Amino acid sequence: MSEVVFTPETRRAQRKHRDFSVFSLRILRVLCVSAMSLIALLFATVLITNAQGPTQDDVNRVANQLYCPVCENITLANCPTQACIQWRARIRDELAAGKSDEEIIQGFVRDYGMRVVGEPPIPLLWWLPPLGLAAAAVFLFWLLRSWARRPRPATAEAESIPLPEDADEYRARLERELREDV
Amino acid sequence: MIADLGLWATVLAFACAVYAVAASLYGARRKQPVWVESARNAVVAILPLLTLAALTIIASLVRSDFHLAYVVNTSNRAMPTFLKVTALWGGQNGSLLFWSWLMSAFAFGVMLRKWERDRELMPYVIAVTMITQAFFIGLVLFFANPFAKYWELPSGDIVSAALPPAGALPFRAAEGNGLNPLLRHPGMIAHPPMLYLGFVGFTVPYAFAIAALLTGGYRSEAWIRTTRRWTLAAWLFLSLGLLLGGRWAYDVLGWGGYWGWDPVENAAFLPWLTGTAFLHSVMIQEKRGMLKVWNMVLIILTYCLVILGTFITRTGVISSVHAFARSEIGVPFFIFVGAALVGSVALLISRLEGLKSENHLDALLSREAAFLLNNLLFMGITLAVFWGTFFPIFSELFTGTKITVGPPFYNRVTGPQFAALVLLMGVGPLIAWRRASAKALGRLLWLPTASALLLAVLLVLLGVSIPGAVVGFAIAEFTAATTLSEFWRGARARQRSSGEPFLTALSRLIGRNRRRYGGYLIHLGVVLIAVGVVGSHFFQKESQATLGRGESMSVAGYIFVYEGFREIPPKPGDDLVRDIATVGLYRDGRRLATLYPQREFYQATQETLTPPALYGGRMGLEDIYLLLVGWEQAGLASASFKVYINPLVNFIWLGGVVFILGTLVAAWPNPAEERLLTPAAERRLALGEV
Repeated sequence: MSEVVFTPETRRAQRKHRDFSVFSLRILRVLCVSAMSLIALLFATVLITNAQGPTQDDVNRVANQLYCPVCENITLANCPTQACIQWRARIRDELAAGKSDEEIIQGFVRDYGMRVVGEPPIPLLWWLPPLGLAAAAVFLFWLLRSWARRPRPATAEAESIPLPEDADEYRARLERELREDV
Repeated sequence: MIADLGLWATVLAFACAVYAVAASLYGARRKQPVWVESARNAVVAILPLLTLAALTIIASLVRSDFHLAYVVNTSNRAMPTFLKVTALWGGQNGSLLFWSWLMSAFAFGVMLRKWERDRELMPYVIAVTMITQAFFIGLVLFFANPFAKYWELPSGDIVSAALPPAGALPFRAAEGNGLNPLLRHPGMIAHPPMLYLGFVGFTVPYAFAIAALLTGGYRSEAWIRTTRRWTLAAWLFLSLGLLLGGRWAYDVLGWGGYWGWDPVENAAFLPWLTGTAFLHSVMIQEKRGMLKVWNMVLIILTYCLVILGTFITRTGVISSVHAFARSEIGVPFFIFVGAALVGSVALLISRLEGLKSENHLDALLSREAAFLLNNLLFMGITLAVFWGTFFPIFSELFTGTKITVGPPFYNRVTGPQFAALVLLMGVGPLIAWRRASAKALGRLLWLPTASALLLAVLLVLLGVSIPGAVVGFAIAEFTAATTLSEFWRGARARQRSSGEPFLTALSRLIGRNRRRYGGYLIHLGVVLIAVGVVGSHFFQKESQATLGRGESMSVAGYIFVYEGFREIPPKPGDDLVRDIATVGLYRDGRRLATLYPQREFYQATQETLTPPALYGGRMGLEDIYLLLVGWEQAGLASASFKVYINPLVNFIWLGGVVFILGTLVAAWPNPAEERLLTPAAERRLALGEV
């Protein structure tokens, strides 16, 4: 394709710069042709992409991150309602117009509120569970330490309680048998 | 009128429940066993009464008696009989009656067993179970009455009421609305009853715990041993309910998955989490007499979460605070949960003195510490799920902003904790009670650790580049290895000492130590489920395309060819239209199967359902999940399809089966083992110290 389009161009260049040396002319021609082919190639790619438009998988990529504001906990990619079909069309149009995924999602948040995203960027939501776990872990560790440090109950009564070695009697027996075996 | 019979049976059941509460408490206070016996008889009477009530609703549903509002709302004439029967739990009012009925069955069972052994506790067990029972029957009678009928007022208005308003004439609808299409699935037979059985089942250990607190029985561990099997039964049903729910969602909902972190799913999952923590931590109390307060906290929490779960499922409070305000049962539920929580915790605090640990932790490296870590992780997951589920309510109440907390939150926050839990599951059972030696533990663990690391390296070399998946599979392999080695070591030891063949030794080993090896089987089931979850979560592929007839799409090496389309009109009297596409499935040039993805359209309610066509590819290692998304109305020339490839998802169902088998093994009665596991506390009882 590039040959057909750019041959007259290069001929004109040849005519204009007749006084150039053959060598420099050849370099110029090579440069010119390759630069223009490159531009044509890019142009063609853009044209082809535009003709095809975003694929349904492209639409789903964005739709999977958005939640239907009508139904509960269903992403746009899976929702069969009329509203969601329209919103999917909007995603397709905006993708075709060259918007990024993030821009499209921001657009939906602007128009329909925080509710449409499944991962609301609210620090309190995200930080409480890990902080709670960490706090519980620290508490537990402190508790275990204090238990482990405490002296054994020294009362006669406590000593008289048979230790529950039966609890792991079975394991002990197993270990014994295994040891004997080896 | 047959439903009137049911209504009055329910009224009588309510009276029995209220009477049982009063009589049992009076009998206990006045030390007059005759009153307690009378209360017990009242409890026993509730089961037949509610059975009658439930049967009258079922009969009305089967006979399509459209005088009843509930029958109109949940059925129509065209539904097959089994769906008409399951419609008993297909709507709010009927499901609350169903809940009450299952509750009465559990209470009936408790009354028949172990009466002599726990004579002290029984009055309060009756009181607590019957307060719960009376609450639910009360909801059925006063707020969500399935016996309500349609009446035509003199003004011409149609109202629904259990008793005829003055001057009203009976009104009969011509046809019912039919059951929600999502519920017209064989899974509907088993999933809700299992879930509800699990829910009501946890009332029993809770009732015993509260009774123990009230009577002073908390000083011994008797209540835990009495309720161990009840707890396991409740837990079994709840687990089954969750598994069946996952399978049902996978087969019906058509979004390619089995678990969506939906508020209703979470509501059922929360009591399972605390219940599982409870099942583990009572072992420390049984064997070492420790963690008494904590176990009380866990069972109280589980009970409250059960009530809360029923409340969430039935009121739709999560979807909107306004749904809660509109729901008639919202306020009574809220009050009941609050009262149960505050009352139980207050009672617990007043008894703290008697709940001191009998033993102390001997070492940080011990089974006790491992159990505590297990509890920490379960509570961490519970907190995260609870927070994610209820945050939208807080957000709407306090800031007025409606938000959605979707799967990404739960996956990211609970994923690592689940992974840690599975890892702990591999280490914990190998750690000795009281004090473990790191050296002995290392001897047991080095081989599984090495094999897990080897697997991780292998996976990376094979091109698995997702860190979460590599870690997940390696952890699963590690835990599977340590758990299986427990079976192997045990069976070998038995074989060598008794000379039995290996398989005989293995089965006798399991039979003689059902609790231990049943538990290990459950752990193996969890490992399989974990493999399925990791595989389907990280490697799911998804693609959608519109195909003309004869055109094909290619996903993950499979080729789908759109071959034909047909529409099946509704059968006479039915409203279901089926549109079925024919798709040829190919791989490597070979035709594997013909798939029939379809869309079901229910004309009466204008609802649609897209059940997937499923095919097990690569010997069942990956599921092909094909959906018919849409089609061109004119000429049916083209149709849109969505394909999910779900690797390893079948491991989840396989793991579920192993899990349930393990629970049955662990719960199966074994008198010899019961004697072997005499806890320290009982021995003290025998020594006359209490």
